[in-house]
Amino acid sequence: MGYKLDQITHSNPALSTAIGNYFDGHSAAFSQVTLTLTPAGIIDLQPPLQPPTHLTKLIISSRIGTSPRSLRFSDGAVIETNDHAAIDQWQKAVTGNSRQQWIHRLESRVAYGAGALIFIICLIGISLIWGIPWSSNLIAHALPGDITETIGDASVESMDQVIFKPSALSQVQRQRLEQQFQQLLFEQSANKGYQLEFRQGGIIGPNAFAFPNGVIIITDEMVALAEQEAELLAILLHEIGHLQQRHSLRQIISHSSLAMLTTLLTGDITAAGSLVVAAPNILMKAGYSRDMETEADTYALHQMQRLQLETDHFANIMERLESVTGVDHDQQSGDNKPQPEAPPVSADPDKITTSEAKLDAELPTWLDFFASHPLTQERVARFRQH
Amino acid sequence: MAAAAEFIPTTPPPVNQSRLLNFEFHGRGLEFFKIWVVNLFLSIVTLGIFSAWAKVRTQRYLYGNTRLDGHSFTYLADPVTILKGRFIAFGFLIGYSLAWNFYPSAGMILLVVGVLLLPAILVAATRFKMRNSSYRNLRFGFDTQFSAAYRLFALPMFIILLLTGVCYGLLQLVDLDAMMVGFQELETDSDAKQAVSLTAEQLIPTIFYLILVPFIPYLDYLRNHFLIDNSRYGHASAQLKCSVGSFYELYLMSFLVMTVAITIAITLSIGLVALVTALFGSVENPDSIAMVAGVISAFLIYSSLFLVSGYFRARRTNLIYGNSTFGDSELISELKFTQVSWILFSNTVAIMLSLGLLIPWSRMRMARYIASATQLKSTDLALITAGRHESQNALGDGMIDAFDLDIGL
Repeated sequence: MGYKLDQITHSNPALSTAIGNYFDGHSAAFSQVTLTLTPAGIIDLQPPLQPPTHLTKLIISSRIGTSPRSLRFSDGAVIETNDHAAIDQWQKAVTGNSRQQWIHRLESRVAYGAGALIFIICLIGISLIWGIPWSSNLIAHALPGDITETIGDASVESMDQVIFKPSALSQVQRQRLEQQFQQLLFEQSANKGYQLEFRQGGIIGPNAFAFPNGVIIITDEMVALAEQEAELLAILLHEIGHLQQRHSLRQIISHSSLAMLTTLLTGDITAAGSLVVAAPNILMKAGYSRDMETEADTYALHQMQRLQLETDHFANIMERLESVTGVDHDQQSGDNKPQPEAPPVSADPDKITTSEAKLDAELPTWLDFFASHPLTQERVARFRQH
Repeated sequence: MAAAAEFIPTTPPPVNQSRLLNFEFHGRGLEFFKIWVVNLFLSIVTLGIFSAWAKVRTQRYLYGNTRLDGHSFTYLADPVTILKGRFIAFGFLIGYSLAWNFYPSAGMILLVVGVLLLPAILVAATRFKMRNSSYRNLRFGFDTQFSAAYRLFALPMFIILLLTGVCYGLLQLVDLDAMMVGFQELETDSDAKQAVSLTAEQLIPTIFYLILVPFIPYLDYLRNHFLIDNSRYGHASAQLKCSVGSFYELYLMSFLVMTVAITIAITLSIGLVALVTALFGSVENPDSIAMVAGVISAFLIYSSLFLVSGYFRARRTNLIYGNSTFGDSELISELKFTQVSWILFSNTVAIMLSLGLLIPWSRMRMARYIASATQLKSTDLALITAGRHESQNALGDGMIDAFDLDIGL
């Protein structure tokens, strides 16, 4: 008969012997053995199932918690034991160090565990708040033109398939806006590769999008919503701001790098943690687009001042947009939760839609962080002050 | 016969009397938490390299604390092999996502290639897992050729790929149609057209899934038979003794339980909302009360899903493991779905409330329950010997460790 593992606890205070179960590797049979360490570092077995063997000739598995260790002989036989105290001391005495055990030492103290935990939390925080935005900004600006072109074209194409319909605006209207747009680009010496295109928004309604390939799409509904052309120019400036700062690219890069990082780092803990792993992604997505909206607003604000346009125009159209889409949104979806929206394409075209902003107004302020867009009132106020 | 019996009149009572051997799980939450958090920490500071070692340490802890008849299991995988596998998988993943972003058609091709590779990956991963598991210093094994997997899965895979292709093609046609209609008939009632194409876009995948659904129990049956029938412990081959019918029964019953559970949850929610409205209908701020009622109903419905998932998992595990044999030993699996559901539910709540810190604890808890509900009916395990081709000097023998992917067995 052999020992049951939980019966093996160390009984010999001198640590000169240990007990375990011997398995020869040829069959599942086993027998109990007593191991004795001689002063010369030789392991003797009782009964002598193996000739005396020097401790360094054995492959001893590293220690993981209180799970059993195995001592493997060169012929494949194994002794399994729970007598960690003896084995640890033997290894130390014979080899002079316990090099293998450093991970176990980290694992065995609550303080180290707590330290590791704090480090992880800080690191996650730092990389979410600064690391990933910073590096995706860097990458977004370094990406060669043809790649951004391809991404943008694909995004426009899939938006065309899923959402947009061809614009119903008259040729005259389009040409006027196109001219104004070129004028804007010229006056602020922005990249001349930018293009303005028109689509019917369908379910999206009044909105405007900036794509990584330099295409800005404005919906017919948006054009119809504007009471003055200057309002549309304000919107276009906001979109140019997104393009100048490569916002959509940065979004794509930060999302995919976060996804990759989590896959890489947590490859081991997929089981129960999927929700926990998904959470930062969702939070970050919301937080970023909010910062980006503010950046694009700042751009539009400065350009409007420089071009001596009334900054009130932006405020006016934003307020009108809110009153229109707010009502619309309520009819479409009855729930009152701020939901980070899943974009139909990877390009994550930014939205000016203020449905979230409207909902924010009814929720406690701490939820602001989760909203993907700044409060409309806040945004409007910035443009009113000047 | 009587003559033969006389030759051995003094034999001890027959050896082949079977005993019930218990599984036990000895892992402890706090201990595993420290291992888990150090693993996570080292994986992060080494930019993921350590994750292979982390996996080995985790598995060794789980195996080592799983005891059958007082002896533990051993996980023997080499972290370097796992690391190589992870590099390959990660490279493929990057290639795949880049392809989808830049050249969707290349992404499509990679997807098809990936699907075609699935049987090979299944074989390689299972072989890796089994060959690196041992009990009483005898290894488990998974002896089959890649070609066997392809022979088995060729037809189902062909049907799925064909259906996917047809579905994709149909969707393209509908899209094209919608675009054409959009361009030609701007003046007419294009909203109606939009509606038509939208429903078609929803309808085609729905039909696709409806065609596939009846095959799922059959595929599950095929897969488990394949996995278990090709496994062995030492020289003792494993066998799964259950019919296709029992898999269909499992899925049908689970569907039934789901329908009943959700119906009850919805009925309760409706009743709750009605009650709330009746009680507080005239209060100043009906919105917030409606919201509270909504949250409670969502909670009810969500909870009922745990019941369903627990039912499915418990019954499926009982079906598969409870009907498996190794040589002349029989596994007995008697998971209670109420217990599994409760553990799943309370684990999820605990993980959410602790922001993930209780993940290690929850794993220990589930493992402890599963072990406590599992037994092995066996005559004498000591009679089992090593497999034929097993090299005794087993550590680091160069096997076909292609891949280590976590494919749930």
